[in-house]
Amino acid sequence: MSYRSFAIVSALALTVAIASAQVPAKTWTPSRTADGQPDLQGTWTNATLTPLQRPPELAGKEFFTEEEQAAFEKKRLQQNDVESVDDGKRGPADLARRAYNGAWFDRGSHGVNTRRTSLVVEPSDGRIPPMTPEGKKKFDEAHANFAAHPADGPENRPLSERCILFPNAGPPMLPEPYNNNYQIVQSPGFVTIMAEMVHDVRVVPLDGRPHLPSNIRQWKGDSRGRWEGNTLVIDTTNFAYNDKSRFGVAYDGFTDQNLHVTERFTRTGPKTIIYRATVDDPTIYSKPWTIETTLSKREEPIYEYACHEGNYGMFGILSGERAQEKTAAAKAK
Amino acid sequence: MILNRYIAALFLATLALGQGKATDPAGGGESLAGLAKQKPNVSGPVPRTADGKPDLSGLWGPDRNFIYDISSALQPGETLPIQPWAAKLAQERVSKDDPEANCLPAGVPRMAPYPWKIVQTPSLIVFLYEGNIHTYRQVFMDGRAHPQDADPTWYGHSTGKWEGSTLVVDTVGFNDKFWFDFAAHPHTEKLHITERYRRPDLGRLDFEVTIDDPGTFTRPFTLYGHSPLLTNTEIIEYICNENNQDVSHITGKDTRK
Amino acid sequence: MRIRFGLAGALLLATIPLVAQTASRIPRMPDGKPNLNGIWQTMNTANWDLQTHGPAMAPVVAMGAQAATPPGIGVVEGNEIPYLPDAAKIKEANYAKRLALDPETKCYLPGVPRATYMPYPFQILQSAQSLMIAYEYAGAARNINMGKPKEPPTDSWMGWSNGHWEGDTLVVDVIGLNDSTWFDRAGDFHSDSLHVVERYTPVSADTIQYQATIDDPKTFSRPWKISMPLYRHLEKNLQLMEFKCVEMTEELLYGHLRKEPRKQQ
Repeated sequence: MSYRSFAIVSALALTVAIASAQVPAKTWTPSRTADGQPDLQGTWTNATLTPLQRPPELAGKEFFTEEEQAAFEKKRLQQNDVESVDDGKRGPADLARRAYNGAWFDRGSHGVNTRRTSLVVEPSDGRIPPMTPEGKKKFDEAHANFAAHPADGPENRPLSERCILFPNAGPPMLPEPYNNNYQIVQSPGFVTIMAEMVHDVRVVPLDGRPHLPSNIRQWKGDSRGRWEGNTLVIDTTNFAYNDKSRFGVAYDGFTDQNLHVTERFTRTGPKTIIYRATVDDPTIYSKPWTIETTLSKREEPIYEYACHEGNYGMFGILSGERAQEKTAAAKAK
Repeated sequence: MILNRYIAALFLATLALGQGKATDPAGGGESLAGLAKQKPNVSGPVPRTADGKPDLSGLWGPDRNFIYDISSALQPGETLPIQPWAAKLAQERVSKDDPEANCLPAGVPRMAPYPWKIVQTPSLIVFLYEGNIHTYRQVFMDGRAHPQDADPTWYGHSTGKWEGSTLVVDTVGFNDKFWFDFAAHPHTEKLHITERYRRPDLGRLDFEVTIDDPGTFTRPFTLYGHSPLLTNTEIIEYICNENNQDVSHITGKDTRK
Repeated sequence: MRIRFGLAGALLLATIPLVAQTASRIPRMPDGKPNLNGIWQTMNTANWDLQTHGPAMAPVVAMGAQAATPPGIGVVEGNEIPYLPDAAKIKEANYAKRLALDPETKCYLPGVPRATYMPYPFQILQSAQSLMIAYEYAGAARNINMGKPKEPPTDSWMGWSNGHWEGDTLVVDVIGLNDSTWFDRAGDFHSDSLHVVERYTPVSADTIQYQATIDDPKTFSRPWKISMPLYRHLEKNLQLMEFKCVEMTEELLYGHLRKEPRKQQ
């Protein structure tokens, strides 16, 4: 090869090498809606095996390795099957729990794809912060009340059993055993989130209008949204309260009407939205706590969850409790 | 009052148990080891029959992977070695035509989300199913051969033998009518199923199901499953066609297709 | 001369068709389709009775005029609902026990088209790829599939909606409705063969003309139509509020199963 062609070849090779070195690390840019906002639209799911709080034996470990995540998922799936075993105790919460075995759940077979060991990311220990003394008192009273009056009437049952609100509608939108499906629609001036359970639609204005008056309380609260760069921030106040808590009586995360939720939606890829929600309830918790989970794209539509229309469970729970009281009263004689 | 305190104590106990239990999706942060302690004591030595074999008798729970889609019972990374005609048929089938939805048998190895029971005797092992229909399978342990040219049936003809601690069940003579799962995977009358059951622990039944159907799949393949032992409950009578509310509401195609 | 020109100009304007003037005022999406975004509501008594009706007493004496049936001009084209003979008897029986039997009393989902003319606002949320309607009543909601039409996997209370544009009219084909809803408080009902075709035609910036064709060969001898305007809510900062009426029906549904009867208000 002549010196000239060698030089040309070398120059080309060098150019290619420089060009490769200069190509930036690939970051994903979201497509935009007609209004120029990042496009979050579509159907999404937050089904996950990752627990809300970091288990004590994983203290200090914020992320799994790939192998550890796979092992954790396998163990959790097996556990979910076995947990349906009757332990012989027949407490009121337990009865409903044992109505389901693992076949009925749809938590998927994976933890969050960030491989975090808990949904709670702040505080950094992955655990819900301690309650204030007032919070602990409210929590204990609520649970004592539930234990003493598990089913005097429908108001004694959790909001989900009454078909009023499920934890996966929230806000914050927490993964549930099933129907963890959401649809996001972006129309001029609004972002709308429909949660499949119970066809709960949050129409969130983006125009900076004030919240509803503070005496107006709603189960989903009152949401206002804004964009911070590529992140949708939704601020929700005006929560209604009953002592059954919006997360259900047996769940972690007790809150009252002073709850203030801040959600952040950031689309990081064609199939992923990172969802963060900060739970700030100063009467209950000594400090705010934040969960992070992923919303994964689905191609299926939302199905209708006509909860109240088919709520045979409530009839069963109340009449069953009345029957047990009758039996107990007859025995007492 | 004593009753209230009892209920309160029970509730708080179940509340504690609730952390990380199946219906608490959040897990609660209870240590996994702690959860194992809280579980009822269904671990223990495997019972043995008089002739020294493991006794598989017991009430067992379902394995979800044998309900929705048998692909999920493959080893991780494996795909179902299904022939194109069968994959196409599975796509086209509509849930309302699923025999299972119409209270016809689910066949083998499909499960329903209900308990099932094994009753083991030296010469005959019987599987009793609460659902999808209230029926049974017989596994003949007396050394008999399969009949020549048996009439094709929903559950086939099963013979079994022990290989060490493993019960090996061989079944042929299936008809082609049942669907393997909700995902509507089909099969032909060439279907030949080998099941291997092991009870490594009092509370656990492991099984491997090898499906060999050259009419539907390009090679035999194995599905892996397990069932937990159920205690303090019993098979409930389930007469599927007495009150089949669901099938009239299934109007169209599964949207996953 | 100026005056003559002005007169000519005015005459010219007068000949531009009204339709073209109207069409140019309808808000539009970037792709040129009508922009139906907004909060809408009907102003009629169709939810009481689709046909023209006189006033009637409230079923609960204590509610007096508050819950009396108001009179109203009907929304049915021809004012006739063509029930088949057996179905007509069912309608009569429904009417006789309407308070107890009307699914609305129990806060059940209203179905289509009743959701449109219930006396509460609804919001249309329209983007390039999605069209969702959120109703204030019971948080009912519908997704209108604007892509290739799909069949419903199961039946449902609010049905399965496939939509497309015919000029400036949004045509929504609704199937997969169950048989559990009523058309109004007067006992007008249907079977699970119900097929509804809705037409939403904007006629001004703030009005949509709504028409629904009801086709149910098990109940009616022929298809029939209802039509009414949808009016845009113009209040600043209006929002749908949460009307989870389930709470308001618990005493009705479960009161007899309480441990202690609820104290009468």
